[in-house]
Amino acid sequence: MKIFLLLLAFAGIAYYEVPGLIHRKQWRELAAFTGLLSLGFVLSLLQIIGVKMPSPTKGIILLIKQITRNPGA
Amino acid sequence: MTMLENGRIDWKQAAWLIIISRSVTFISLEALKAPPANQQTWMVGPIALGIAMVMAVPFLILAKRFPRQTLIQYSETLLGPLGKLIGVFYVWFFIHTSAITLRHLGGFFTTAVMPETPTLVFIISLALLAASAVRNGIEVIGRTGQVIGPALLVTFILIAALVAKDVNPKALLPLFDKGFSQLLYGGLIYAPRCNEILVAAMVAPYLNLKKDINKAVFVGFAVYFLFFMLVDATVIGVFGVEQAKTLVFPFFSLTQIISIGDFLERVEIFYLTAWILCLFIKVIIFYYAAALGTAQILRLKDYKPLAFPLGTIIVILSVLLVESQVELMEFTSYKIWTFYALPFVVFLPLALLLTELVRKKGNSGS
Repeated sequence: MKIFLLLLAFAGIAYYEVPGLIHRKQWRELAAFTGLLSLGFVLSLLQIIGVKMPSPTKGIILLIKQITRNPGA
Repeated sequence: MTMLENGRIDWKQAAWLIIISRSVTFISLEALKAPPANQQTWMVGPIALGIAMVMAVPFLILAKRFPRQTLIQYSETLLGPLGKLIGVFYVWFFIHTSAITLRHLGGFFTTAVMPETPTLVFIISLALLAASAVRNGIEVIGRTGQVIGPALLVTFILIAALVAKDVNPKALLPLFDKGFSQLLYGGLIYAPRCNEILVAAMVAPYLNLKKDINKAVFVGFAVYFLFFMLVDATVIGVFGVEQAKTLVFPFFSLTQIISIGDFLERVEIFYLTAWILCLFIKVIIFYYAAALGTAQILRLKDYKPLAFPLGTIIVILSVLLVESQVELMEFTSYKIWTFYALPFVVFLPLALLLTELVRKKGNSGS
């Protein structure tokens, strides 16, 4: 059900945007659009089917804590 | 080089956008918990303003040398493929800021307004609205800022005026009891949080008078820090610094205690409206900067088709990035966010400026 809704949402976005891009022959734009939308789709799908993705936030927090462990002041 | 954005804004609109986006910080007043974390926190305002203006200098010089290019474009002009990579980092930073802000906004709706609705519902509906704003371009965003900004400042003044009788001026003193260095340190770790300077660098070519970018940045930050002092001083004056530090939303608690006679109560709804609008504008401008930046990195003719795909990525990141409100608080605290923003706001622009001074690719002076 959730996957169906997700597909519907992404299909809606593609339906809204793609015909205009083809009509104006903006192929570069179409490629960028498809690439980013696919990235968004894969990330959402992974999230929905419950794959644990590493959060960049945790990495950034760890890294900064390492760097600032001995602050100069 | 073609211009991706045909809209134009004036310096006042750009300044309003900076003020609104910065005012997001007033609700939790992160500055109260950061050094110097005592009664003189409000004095950090003017010092942080000075430091923020120094930080803005590389951007302003670069904007003058490349009047028709944004941050993403001149970094590529200056450094070629390496500059493109820097552009990718900036776009990531914009997306990240937007996602974190969206998470704040959605989380707030869930905890305070409708606890039984999943956060995702708010996040998606707000993201749809934001996407439509981004597609409409900088002119519409600028005008929105111009309408919301004054209303926002009036709200702050009104709240401060209504609690003025409860302010204890003694709570704000003594000044400089631990020496000036504490205040300077406070300013130094507060100023890099002003990442709106990056947005200014992204919209600089779209001002109707290019040289006005200096005015926009200065007035924007000056007004923000003035209100920072006002809000901070009122909170400390009413609650005292020790109690204020224990509150999660000090300024919000302040609006809750307002009660004039028997007829003026529950003023907090005005503040909440203002705060939600602030967060929403912040989401929009960083989202816009990300869409524009991506289009410029990929050398597209139009950034508008990227609005929805980027929106899906921002939505999913806002869910994925932080697991809990506690982690969100830790990430946005001065201990982490300041240092995360530092390379984007200070080191990279300095490197770009040095490159420009050596290679002289822009218009030199005159």
